[in-house]
Amino acid sequence: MDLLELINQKAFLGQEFLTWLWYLSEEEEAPALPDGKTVRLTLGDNLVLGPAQGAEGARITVRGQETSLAEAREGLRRGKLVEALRLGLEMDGEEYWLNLSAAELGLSSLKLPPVAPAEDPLRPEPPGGQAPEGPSAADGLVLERVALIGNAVQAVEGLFAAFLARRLDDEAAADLKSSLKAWAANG
Amino acid sequence: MGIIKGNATLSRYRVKGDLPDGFKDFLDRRIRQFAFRDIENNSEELSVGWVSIHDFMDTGFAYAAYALDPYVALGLRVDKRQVGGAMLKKYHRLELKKAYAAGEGRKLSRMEREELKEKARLDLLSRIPPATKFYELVWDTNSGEVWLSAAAHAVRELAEDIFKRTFELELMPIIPWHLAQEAAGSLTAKRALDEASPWSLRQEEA
Repeated sequence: MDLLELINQKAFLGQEFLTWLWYLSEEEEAPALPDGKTVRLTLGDNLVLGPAQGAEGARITVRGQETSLAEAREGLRRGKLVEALRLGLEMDGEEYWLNLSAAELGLSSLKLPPVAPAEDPLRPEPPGGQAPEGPSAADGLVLERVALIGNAVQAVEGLFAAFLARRLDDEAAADLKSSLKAWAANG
Repeated sequence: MGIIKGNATLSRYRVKGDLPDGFKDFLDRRIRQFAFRDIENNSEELSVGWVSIHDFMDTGFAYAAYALDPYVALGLRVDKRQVGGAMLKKYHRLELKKAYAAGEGRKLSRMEREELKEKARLDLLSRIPPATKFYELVWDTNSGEVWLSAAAHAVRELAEDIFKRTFELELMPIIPWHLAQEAAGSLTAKRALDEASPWSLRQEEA
């Protein structure tokens, strides 16, 4: 099976996961990740719903803080699922924001907690030609940013693993589905 | 804007294949071999190559500055010349006009017209400076995961291609299905994953 076929066949996993994240942001204070850490989720100012896999229909896009989610919730009740959203993650007192898409779980517009600015990497090396000892401030910045991005990636993967642990267990899956339906019905 | 500055957009990959023996030397040799080559002073349409992650003008890689163990952190520079349709049409017409004048109004064949169009395009290419785009790529050589600071299909293709040519390793996009297989772990969970079918939250369904 080629990659495109695989993406198309299993697109529902990403859609259901993102729908669950929206549910979590409203229904659970700070869900735990498989590694024991907790993460507080906040729905951001972008939410896109589309038809569930195999179904046809229009997309619903909700943008902006002031926009009511009523239309999106109505979309859920009509069988649509989340295709993309902006999500806030609060971990260890630090805030991350990111856009997630169901098709690839790709992270975009990822806003990281602030890091200390590095010295200007374009400044010429001091004379002498000696290799610098240890990472430079600019390299330190790269490592810090990579670590922060890693935190966000791990959190998303951890949440996905937590979702699957429920989704793939018959009993837990039935509970989860009825919780989601009840939540969708009450919005 | 990307991995080291501003808001980040990531395409994630797994590296397929094993690192060669003498990896550090191989890495240094190959990065330099596939470093960005300037096309400012010629008429080439496209140049894609590695630069410093801090500076898209730096192709020297002093002190193997890309190596931030266990990460390989590189800039990917893409310079491209593009001739706009309207501009090409205008210069094609000028070429046609010259050809008609030289041939005293002789009708031009379809092939001759196409050749003049290509001539106009090549002339324009030599006069247009290339536009520069810069992306970042970070490779965690421990986990075998690669992040590219772009989501556009065309950029991803360029990055996947130069990564393969440089390191003789393939980049496999990470998709939910692969993550799910890894997360599922046990055989029972994997079977459940294979058999899983889409849910609907439609209210009239039981």
